Amino acid sequence: MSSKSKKSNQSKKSSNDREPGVSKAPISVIFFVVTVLLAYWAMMELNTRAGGFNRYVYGPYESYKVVEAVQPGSGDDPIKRGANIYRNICSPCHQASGMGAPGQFPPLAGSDWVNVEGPNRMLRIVLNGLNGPIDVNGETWNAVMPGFGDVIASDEDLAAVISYVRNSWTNEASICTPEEAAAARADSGDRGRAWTATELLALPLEVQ
Amino acid sequence: MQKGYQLFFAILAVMVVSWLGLVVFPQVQLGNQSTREVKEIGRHYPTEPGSLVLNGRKVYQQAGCVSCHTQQIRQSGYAFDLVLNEVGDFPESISSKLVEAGKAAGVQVTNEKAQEQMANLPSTFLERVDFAVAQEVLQIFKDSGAKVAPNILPLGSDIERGWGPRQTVGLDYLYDQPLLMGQQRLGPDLANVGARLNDRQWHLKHLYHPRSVVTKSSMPAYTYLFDLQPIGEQPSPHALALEGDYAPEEGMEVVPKPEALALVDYLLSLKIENPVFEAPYMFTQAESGEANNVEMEQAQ
Repeated sequence: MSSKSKKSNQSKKSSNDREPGVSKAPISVIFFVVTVLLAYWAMMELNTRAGGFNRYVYGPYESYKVVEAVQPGSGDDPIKRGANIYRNICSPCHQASGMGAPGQFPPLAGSDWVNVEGPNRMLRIVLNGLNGPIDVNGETWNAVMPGFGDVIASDEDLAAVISYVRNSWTNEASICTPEEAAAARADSGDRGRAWTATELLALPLEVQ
Repeated sequence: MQKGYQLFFAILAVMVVSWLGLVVFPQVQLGNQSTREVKEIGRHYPTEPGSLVLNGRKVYQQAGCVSCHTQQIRQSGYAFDLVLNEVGDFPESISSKLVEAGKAAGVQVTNEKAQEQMANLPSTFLERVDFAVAQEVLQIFKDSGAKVAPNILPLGSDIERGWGPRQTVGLDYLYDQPLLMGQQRLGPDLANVGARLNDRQWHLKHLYHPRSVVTKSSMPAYTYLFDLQPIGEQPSPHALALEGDYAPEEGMEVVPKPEALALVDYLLSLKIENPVFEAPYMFTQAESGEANNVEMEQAQ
């Protein structure tokens, strides 16, 4: 009797053993810490070496910024070059948005002095400044702008900043070439005083 | 089964994560690309291959070229050559700036050397400097009136071998369907073979018998792409000009089948000859002129 019951117990045990169960056991702290550290390391690697998962970034270039910076000839783009000059020289008054300041500085964005065929009148204003009343988009402004002919000494920089203004915000007008800038500078010569709106309107739109 | 649902979800999670990482994310990252205008060449890149090229591509697949040749140029780094193009209005200050730039790059530049560099424009005054140094030097010349251009040079063993001017990027494979990028290099890389070996006769001879043009080649001869036939009243205009041991016997000629001509068309269409935004390099006008000449030759 007793041996029989022992036997049945054993067979019961072995049938249980056929499918091992999951017992609760604490996870080793070291295992947990190592996993977290590995995950952290992997994320840092992706952060520094994956180039932000940008489609334009391939190794060995580190990031989109680097790819953009190493583009050959990007320094020759007049609009990019002009953007820097504008930021330094023009934006204190005309604002980075090109909207100017109400009652003080007329806007350049959408201005009917900017969106014209040639850059001649703009060049003159930048070279020698502007004095007295001027109509911009049907509104009369009365302010003084100093000349920047000495500040922007290089014809290429002058052409770049004019090109930037003529092709930024909503403006769409031709690029100003360094030759045009040089011609306008030579024509203004040693004028030495600011222009008035009436004088400017008498000038042709294109640089002669 | 104990904990069956846990096992099920664990397997599902593994599958989903791999599917996201291998299929979905790459598709989001590189998918839906389209041709793009490249300003250096003034046209869109890449261009759709013509039917002749596509036929050749089929021959390329059938002949198993892809098992020994890759079409993938690798790049391991980049450097800059700094070129002085114009001295500007203040030449006195430029020579000291050249010396200063040399110091930034760790190169000894004497005043006489600087004067010499200023006399022979355009002059490459610093070679193979890294990005940080190039930026520093540009900062030195900022507002000096001089024109200094950083010319980017892709670096890497593939580029040093002359296999291509830059690395290949996703855009280059836009019309490569199925992708023939290849996975082992028993032979040279072919991504730019159309530009570096631009000679139809050479390719035909090479396919007919590789050892006739490359002595140490281990490529098998694809003679089945050619007909060995007796010369008719006049020799065929396409017959290969084979010499020495590889020439056919007297009165016979080797004429390429249409498959061979199509394959060569495909090989000549494999070109990496313009920079793209992701893989810039200094593209000179002279090179583009050369490329145009080559295209004209092909048209003839």
